[in-house]
Amino acid sequence: MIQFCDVRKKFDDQTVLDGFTLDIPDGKTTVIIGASGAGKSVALKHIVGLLTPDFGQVIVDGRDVDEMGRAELMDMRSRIGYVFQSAALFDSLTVEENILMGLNRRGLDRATIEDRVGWSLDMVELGVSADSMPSELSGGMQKRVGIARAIAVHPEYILYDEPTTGLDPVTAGVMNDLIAHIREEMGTASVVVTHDMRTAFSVGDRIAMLHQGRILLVDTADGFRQTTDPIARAFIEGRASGLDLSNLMTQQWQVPSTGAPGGSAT
Amino acid sequence: MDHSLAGSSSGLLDWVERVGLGVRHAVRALADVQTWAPLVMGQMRRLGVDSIPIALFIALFTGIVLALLSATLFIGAVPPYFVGALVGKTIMMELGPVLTGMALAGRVGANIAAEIGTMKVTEQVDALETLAYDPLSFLVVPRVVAGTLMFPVVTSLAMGFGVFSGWIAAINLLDLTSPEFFKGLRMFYEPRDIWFGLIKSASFGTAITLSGCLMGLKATGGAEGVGGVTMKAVVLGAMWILVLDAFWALVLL
Repeated sequence: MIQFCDVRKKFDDQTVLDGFTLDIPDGKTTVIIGASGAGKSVALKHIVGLLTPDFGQVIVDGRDVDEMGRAELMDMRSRIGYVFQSAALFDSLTVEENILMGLNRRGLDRATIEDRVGWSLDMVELGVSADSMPSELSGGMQKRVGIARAIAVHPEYILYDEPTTGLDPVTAGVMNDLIAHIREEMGTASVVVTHDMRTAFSVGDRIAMLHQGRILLVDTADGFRQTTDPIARAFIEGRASGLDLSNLMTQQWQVPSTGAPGGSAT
Repeated sequence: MDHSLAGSSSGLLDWVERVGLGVRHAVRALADVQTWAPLVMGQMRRLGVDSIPIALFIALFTGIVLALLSATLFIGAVPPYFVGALVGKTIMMELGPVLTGMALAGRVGANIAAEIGTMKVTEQVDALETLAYDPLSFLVVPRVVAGTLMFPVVTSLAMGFGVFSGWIAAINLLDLTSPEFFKGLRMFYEPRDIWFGLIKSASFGTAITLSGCLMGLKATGGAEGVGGVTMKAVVLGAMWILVLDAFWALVLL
């Protein structure tokens, strides 16, 4: 189980998360929706320790991520698959080598690794593209390779950051089916961050709406469809009236990528 | 007064803390040998072997110019074999390492900063982290190790080629014979000339690759951010070359 407990996060003077509290139960798909710039991706990065909260806790399987040592953090990350909004494929490696990156550190034997690569590419229906470079693939195919890389390690949780953003409706539908199929096949708990209500309704067991730094509403997909909350309704129906967008339209902060010395992850 | 003292000590403590954290990160990354060791050979080829043509090109013209310049200065004033002495000493101790270093600050430093910067802004560095890799072990250490090992190799080739081109220029363009040239070359040669140049070039390799990596990891935004850190990496690398050049001159001469 993943828990956000009163998480607060600021970038410069801009408060992004302000008392963000949410439980992500095992075995279910939780969708976090919200307007662009609302802090959905920021919340997701807290789960794997790419960002650390200014206040509050992010707890994964009973352990506070911020209090994990480096080894424990690495172990926790190896149990989570992360699908990036931009796919974030290593562009100097082939599709197969991208998938191998996660598997090579598992201490698996060669046959198992090959099986996993083949299986994950079959799951995303890209078996024929194993030797392709990421630049040779369309945006939708790159996102599917990103999913294959994430599921190849058989994670306990999969985090999807805007999986359908930038895709045409048909390809977005294929992605939604794929996310649902992975959930059925693997039984893995998933967190999907999106502003696409079609994705939210088609893959979500639970939908949580992030608004002004905190969770406004959590409900089942059916319950969410029938909500009378004016802000949630405005978002579902795509109406600007009812949503206070002033905070989002002027936001200047940028989610800092970590990975550098002094990155907040370590 | 008390406030400024408190502020200074707090700033100092912050700095010490940051340096300590950086050292801890570096030690941890170096200890992760199984991640970085397999990548070193590839980086040695990219950063070192592929830089040999530009280093030789620079050395070719440096040798020619030095021979002509020293002839202009010396002939009539001192014996002509001093041309060989000046070409050899200058190329081995100073111009070989420094000019090669400057060229590689552009080629290697910019290459590293742009590559890692692009990885940073396209979330590839974050992806490494989520796949349980330490970006320092995977991206920084192999490049710094390769640069430190290969810069002396490239520089030694440049030194040899520079002296060779100076000799060819001296016997073809000046009124100098080969025995005269090599007499001057041998007369003032000390083994220190070579190892002094190679130690300097190894330190240039470390500084240039480290500057490129750290600048790349600081990239934010998009193309503009990558361009900015690339430029800073080249400038920083060039500055480090000059600082280290003076440092080694003070320490070793």
